[in-house]
Amino acid sequence: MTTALSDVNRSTRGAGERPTLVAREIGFRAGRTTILRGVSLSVASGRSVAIQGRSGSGKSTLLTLLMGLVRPTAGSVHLGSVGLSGLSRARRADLRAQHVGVVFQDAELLDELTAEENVALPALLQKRDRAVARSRARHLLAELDVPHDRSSAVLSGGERQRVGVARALINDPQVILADEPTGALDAELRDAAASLLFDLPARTGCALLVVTHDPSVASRADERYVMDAGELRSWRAAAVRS
Amino acid sequence: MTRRVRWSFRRPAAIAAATALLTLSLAAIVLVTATYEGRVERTVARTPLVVSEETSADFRFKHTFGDVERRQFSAVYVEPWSDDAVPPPGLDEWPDPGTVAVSEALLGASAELTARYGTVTAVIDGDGLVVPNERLAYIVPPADVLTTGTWHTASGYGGTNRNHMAGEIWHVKEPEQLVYLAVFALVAPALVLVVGAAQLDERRRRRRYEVLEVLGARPARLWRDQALVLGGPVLAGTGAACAVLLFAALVDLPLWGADYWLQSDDVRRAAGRLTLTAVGGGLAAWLLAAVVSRPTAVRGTRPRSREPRYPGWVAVLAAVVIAVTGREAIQRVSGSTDDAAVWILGGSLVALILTPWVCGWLVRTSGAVVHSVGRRASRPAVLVVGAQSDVSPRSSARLAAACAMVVLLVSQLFALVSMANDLARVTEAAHERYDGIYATIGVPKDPSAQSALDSVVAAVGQDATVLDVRTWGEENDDGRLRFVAEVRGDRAAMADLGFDGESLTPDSPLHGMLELQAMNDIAVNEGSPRIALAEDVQQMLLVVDATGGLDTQELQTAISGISAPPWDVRAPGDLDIGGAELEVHQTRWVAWFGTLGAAMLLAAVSLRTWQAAEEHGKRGAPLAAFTNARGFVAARAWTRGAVVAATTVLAGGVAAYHLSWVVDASGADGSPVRRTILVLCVLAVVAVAGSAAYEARSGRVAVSRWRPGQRETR
Repeated sequence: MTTALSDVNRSTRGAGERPTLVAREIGFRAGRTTILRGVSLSVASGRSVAIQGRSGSGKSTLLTLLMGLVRPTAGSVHLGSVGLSGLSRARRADLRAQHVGVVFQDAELLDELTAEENVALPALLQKRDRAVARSRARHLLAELDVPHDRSSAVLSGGERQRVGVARALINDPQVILADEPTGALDAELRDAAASLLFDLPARTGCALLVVTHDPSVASRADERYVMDAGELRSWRAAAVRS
Repeated sequence: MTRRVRWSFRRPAAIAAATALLTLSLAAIVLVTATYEGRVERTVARTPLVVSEETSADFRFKHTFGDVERRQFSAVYVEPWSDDAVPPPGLDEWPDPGTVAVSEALLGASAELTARYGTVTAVIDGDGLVVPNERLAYIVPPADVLTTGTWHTASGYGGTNRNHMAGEIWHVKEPEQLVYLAVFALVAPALVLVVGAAQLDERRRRRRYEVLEVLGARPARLWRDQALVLGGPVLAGTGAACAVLLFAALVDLPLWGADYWLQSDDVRRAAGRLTLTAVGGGLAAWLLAAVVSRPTAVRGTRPRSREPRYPGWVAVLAAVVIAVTGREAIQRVSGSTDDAAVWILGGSLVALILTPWVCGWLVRTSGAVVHSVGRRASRPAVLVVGAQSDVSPRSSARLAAACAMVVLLVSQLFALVSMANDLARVTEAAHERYDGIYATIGVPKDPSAQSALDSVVAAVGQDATVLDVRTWGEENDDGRLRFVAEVRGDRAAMADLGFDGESLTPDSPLHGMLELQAMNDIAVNEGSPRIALAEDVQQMLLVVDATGGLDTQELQTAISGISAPPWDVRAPGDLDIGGAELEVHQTRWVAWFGTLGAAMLLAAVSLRTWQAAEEHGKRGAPLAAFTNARGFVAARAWTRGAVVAATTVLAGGVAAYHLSWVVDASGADGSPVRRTILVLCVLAVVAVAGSAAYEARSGRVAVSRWRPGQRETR
């Protein structure tokens, strides 16, 4: 495991425009149903990518494969130079913890915890120093203008989503994967959350991949793709076709 | 306190309670064994040490069973031979000749005992009793009375032959049956309760683990965290169980309704085993809860429900098992009731295991039908319930399975109770029918007691007629022994007892009362009874009074002074008092364990119902935006209730109907339990209706609180 993580570090830290997350010809079948076919994609550090598509087109499945939650039935996913397919479930979890931040559609906070505890959780899962984790969590929450000591259960939708973003950033990830991060927000909050997310590559040097069905959110990305019936196309090509 | 926080409190509390009950259920097995061992030990400690040389004996004794107030007691005749003879344990000195020492439990019958056996002059201390409520009397006969039967010579106490002092009486009965019963009726429901408690708040908890894994938590860490989370409640539950056991180790506890004392001495004696049991119970609860609530592999970033598969072949298998075991049981009753019981219990166990799958399949299948009906009839609530039951049958299936299992389990216990009470029923029926008409007098096979016999016959009085029943064994030509009985006496008296001229009518009370069913040949002869004692002939006197004026108590008292022990005068049915009492005692345990087991199963059902009803109720809340959602959630709740109730009755009721065969005096008959099954099914339907009402209420509350923009309340 140590070797794998070192590989990732060597391949991502200070790599400039080198691809951080790469999918090569991945496909996924559930029973007899083909959900993804021949999807290739790379996201470089400091860059943002948006994937649009209608419901059921396979966007979230692609995200699931890129996170290493599920192995593709064809092709491969690499984080840095490390192929995820050959790793155990535990090793994939380790890689996610150290190098990937995830933003959920519904924030998915643990309501029993405060905002600060929610944000610090991924760092604590990595056995990082508690004081350092809490300090960083407070710092991130202050930057995102969320009170750190309030119970997550009483936060508004926008605040919850910002806490989710702060949580994704706590381990200083190389890649941030966001699944419909503005899907549950109103227009004003949606713009604020989108700005927050799409500023991250420039601010932290991470790679950002956002799955969304909202064109106004997708338009903020450096690169745009469209998922259609399990196939990934560039946005321009898709626009020309339509 | 928010609703979520309340849920977070409910699960640990439920797991703690379930762990305590599982530990106590396992401890019950140890306690049953330990109390048995303690009772055997105390029996040995007060059993006279038999010596064969009369010269070295200090006293002689004879143990018999008597009955007062239609309940059995241990009557121990003792006769000290020397001044140095140590009195029986629990007595400071020997009772005088013609007097009786009794345990506290017999004090209420002192008058009856005095009339029959001698003046009650002393009370036996607790030290001399096997159990605090033991019915025991030490009787020292008058010096000039005729002593009959086999007396043992003894010196001191500590004899290991339990037959010298106690036969198979309930408080020293082998504990195997109780252990099996405890496993079936206590441990199994307690395990179900642990599963039910661990599954509380399942959806939210699983989603939490998925989120944590997405955030990078290793599965092993989630397992460890899960174990730690469960550790607190499990420790609390084990601690509570230990506190109960500690209390039982300090104080003698009467078990209400079971006529049983849990003696602190016995609990302390089993301290080591109980400690291991407590550890094992806690560990078992912890492992089971950990497996039930294990973090499963995450499949995506969004919450997804996982529906178990309910294949149809399991339902077919269950139907075949129930049909085969029911039929086999009936066929085997004529050969061996033990075989039948094994088939019935085996079939019940398999049926219990298969019930969840059968109910799942039934809910899914009925869901498809309801879905189709809802579509054709354009009834939204019916349509939605049908679709949900078809696609997502788990919660409805669980509720139906739990109710069906309670119906099956409780009906089986009632079948056992019915079988166990059979002898008591027969005995009581015989007593009610023939009391005052006739009685039996047991006579020793001892020619020297002939003058006493004459006195007994004289004591019968003029109004009654005496019949003579003699039984003996004869060797056949093939060398095998055949048993012969001869009934001789007055024709009119014999007619009252079912004599039809040549033999006994099938419903004659003599069959059951005198164990004549074991005879190869019964001769019924009219004539004068041959009231003469012989060593090779077992003789019994039948006293008949067609007017119904026979007073057996009076007769017993009248002949009590003739011999020691007195010849037993038994009213009809009293011959089996001991056996009936033993079986009634077993019945008490069935009722005791069955009630506790059913309560645990119902608690498990309630936990499931509680949460499922709330979840189902809230799902309709967003419909408030465009329909009369209150009416919809109510209609949906009641339609779902109907599906669950039908499944419960179909799975639980039918299985119970086929498997609850009662083996008793009337053969294999399911009828005594049929009414119970009907009542249980009605109760199950009422319980499901209550769940539906709660679901409808939760739905109404959720609808009234719903505001636009709010998604389904979790």
